[in-house]
Amino acid sequence: MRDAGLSERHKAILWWAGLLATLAGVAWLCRDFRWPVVWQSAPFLLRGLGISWLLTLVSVGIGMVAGIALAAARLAAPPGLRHLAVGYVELLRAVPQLMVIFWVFFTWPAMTGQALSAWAAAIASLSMIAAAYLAEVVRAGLQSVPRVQVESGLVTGLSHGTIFLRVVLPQALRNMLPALVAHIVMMFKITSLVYVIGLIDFFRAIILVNNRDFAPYALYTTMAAGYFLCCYALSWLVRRLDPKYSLTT
Amino acid sequence: MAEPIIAFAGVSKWFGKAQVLRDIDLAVEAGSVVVICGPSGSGKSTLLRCICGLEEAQAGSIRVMGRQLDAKALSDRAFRANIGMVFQRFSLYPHMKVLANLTLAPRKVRGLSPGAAEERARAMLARVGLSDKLEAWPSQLSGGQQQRVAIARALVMEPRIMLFDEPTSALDPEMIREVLDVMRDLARSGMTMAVVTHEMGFAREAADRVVFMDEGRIVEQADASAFFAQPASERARRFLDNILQH
Ligand SMILES: Nc1ncnc2c1ncn2[C@@H]1O[C@H](COP(=O)(O)OP(=O)(O)OP(=O)(O)O)[C@@H](O)[C@H]1O
Ligand SMILES: [Mg+2]
Repeated sequence: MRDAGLSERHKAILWWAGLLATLAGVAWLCRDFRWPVVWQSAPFLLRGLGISWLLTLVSVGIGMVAGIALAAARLAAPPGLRHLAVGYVELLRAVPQLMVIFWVFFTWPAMTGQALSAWAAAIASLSMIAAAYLAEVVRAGLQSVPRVQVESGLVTGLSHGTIFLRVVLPQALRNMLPALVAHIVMMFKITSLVYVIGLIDFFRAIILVNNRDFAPYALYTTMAAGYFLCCYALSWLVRRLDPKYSLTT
Repeated sequence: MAEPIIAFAGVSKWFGKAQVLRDIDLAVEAGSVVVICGPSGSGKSTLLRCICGLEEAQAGSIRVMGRQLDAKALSDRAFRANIGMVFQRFSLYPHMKVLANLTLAPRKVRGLSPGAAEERARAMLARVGLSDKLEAWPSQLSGGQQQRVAIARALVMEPRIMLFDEPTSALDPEMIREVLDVMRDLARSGMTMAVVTHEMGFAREAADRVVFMDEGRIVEQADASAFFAQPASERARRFLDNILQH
């Protein structure tokens, strides 16, 4: 592709120049916001941001392992187990995420008589949500691997377990990378819901500071920039995992 | 006389209501090469897949290497690995280099050490003429090279039978030859082979027997020389005329 004779290099320069100009324009428009409020609360806000990251990484980590198991069950388990997996995935994706968090936090103590810390409830409920969504991502990835790959393993005597872990799953993960990025970013945003059980993530931290110092323009601009940068960083990180080999032969 | 290495007796198979194999009787002698041909949908692939256990027949008996192919035999993975299979395409693991493609099963199924598996992989790659591709990714190989690697990957298991399901039909004409050459060498070395192919030149040269199928039935089976001199059945004659005109 070449339009108007611009080289890739020139296009990159133009792109960056445009971006910087936009940022400068936005900064100029925002110059009268009460930025000192943000600086003064920076440690508190950063702590909230750290909690958002921690909850995202832990719940995506647990959710990914559980999601792989759920997807495998949905595709290959005997009927009883398969229906359980389908039921779980469909239910968790159908109900509001806020409700799942509430439900875990309040129902667990009611059922067991033991209190659940906000942290435990947040991690459990977010992992449950991540597992349900990631299960569908993994399922699509598994189904994208041609059947002959499995058969090649079978005719050389490989076990089903080896075929799944060494042959199918790596290709599935590769194929589902774009969807995975989207869902990890979604999870990062969903972590903002844990405020309902008293955890102070980035979103909640901004709200609290604003309630005290009232500087909505500066704070909400900070919130937008924070979420954007973090989500961008997350997708960049995941894309970096993309291996170099090509799956199309 | 020794028992045939592959023996079908009255084998039938259905997919749902559709019967795709009808009362198949077939005997393949050890060390011989059988070419299976016939129109599309006649059940050739299904027949091969029954030999290596990818499909199970619902009636009749299949004996391979002197063993009844029942659930117990099929779950014996070391036994199954004695039957090699080469597919039409997409069978190499694209996320592994050629070496890893060749050593995975020898290590997992035959229990070879990584060093021993690599040695065997090198020997088989040399045999298919691709010694320099050990470190290549499958996507860096031509279609013909990929099929030769697929053959080498089957051979590292030291199978006693090799099955080929249209190994050249997804290839450009100039690559078909290199794959058929490897198969001819294999046939000369005394490997038992069952080959589904439309390459009648190869069949004429390398096959001992020809099996002609139509609508799930074996319509005709004969020594290759007799079959190509004059097929006994009208349907096989028409099929041959059609194919040879191309
Ligand atoms: N998994 C399956 N489920 C249902 N029907 C199938 C399945 N596999 C094959 N068939 C049907 O069984 C019949 C025989 O198929 P088979 O693949 O054995 O034919 P073939 O002779 O190999 O044909 P081709 O030359 O096109 O490869 C066909 O009608 C096909 O549609
Ligand atoms: Mg076929």
